[in-house]
Amino acid sequence: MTFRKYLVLAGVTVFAAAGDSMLSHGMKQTGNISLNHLQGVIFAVLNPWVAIGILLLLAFFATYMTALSWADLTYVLPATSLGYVLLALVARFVLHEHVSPLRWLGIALITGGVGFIAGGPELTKHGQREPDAVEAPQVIGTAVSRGAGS
Amino acid sequence: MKRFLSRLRRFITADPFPRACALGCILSPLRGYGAVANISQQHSASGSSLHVSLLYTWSAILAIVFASVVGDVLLARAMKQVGDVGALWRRAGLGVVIGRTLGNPNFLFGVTAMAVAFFSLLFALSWGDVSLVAPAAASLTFIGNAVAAKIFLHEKVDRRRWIAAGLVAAGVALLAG
Repeated sequence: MTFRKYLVLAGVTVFAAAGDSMLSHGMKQTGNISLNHLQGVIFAVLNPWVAIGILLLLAFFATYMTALSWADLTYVLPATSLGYVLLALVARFVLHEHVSPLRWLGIALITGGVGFIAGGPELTKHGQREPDAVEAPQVIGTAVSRGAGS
Repeated sequence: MKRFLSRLRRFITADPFPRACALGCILSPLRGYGAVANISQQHSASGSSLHVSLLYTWSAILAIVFASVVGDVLLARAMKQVGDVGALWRRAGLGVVIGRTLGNPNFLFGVTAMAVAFFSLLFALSWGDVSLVAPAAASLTFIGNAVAAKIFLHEKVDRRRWIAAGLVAAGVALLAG
């Protein structure tokens, strides 16, 4: 795990939490959209909070896909759940809202679970594949031909 | 069936527009609990026959869990086929990364499954309460993903990861409500 990979995982967490809360905030401003009047969705998208939320969720999706390209699904998913922890901490220390003991317990459980995973390897090794062989910059020509075959 | 699939694939790959639509569909499906919660608050207020609606709600929750587990597994498999995005980007550029991802059939089916999960979420929220649907769906998805990753992706889900999946599922159940 390089620093850059931890940065991508942090992006997964932050973009998910931020996008989710901005979308939710924007949707509360635009009001209810009933299933019978779906044209309300168009007005909702014009709300800046909703638009920023959608952009952040796109960023989340990009980072999530990137993380899945070099890590196991069971390694990446707990990182997305850290978003819940982040939201609760923001609610407590930035918005000064009350966080119930049960929610603190939830935070502790998620943090513990993520700690368990982070201690292990990020990718199951299948067969005899060299993990970082194609990353060497000197062998660009051969790397391309080898990469196209895989 | 095979011919149908190949025709479907040709249709999807012929025109970039459906791909863009599909990409739009995944936005909320993945993380839209908070936003969607607001959409159907009105619908959950009926509550005439409690037992029937509870049955409906749990069927819809199971549908959400099933669809999002299928989606996650397909997306994970697609990205393993694409390969390390960072390395590929440095080698061949961003365009190749995006093209290879969007052209991957597993990715397209994964996105479709995510869209199905999103609409199941809408149905679940129209029958049941947010405080039941969101935590139940989120935490069951974690457990289901651990099982599916072991079976279908052959990931080494050892005791460490089982414990972690259980802890995270419990924590999400407490926090998402």
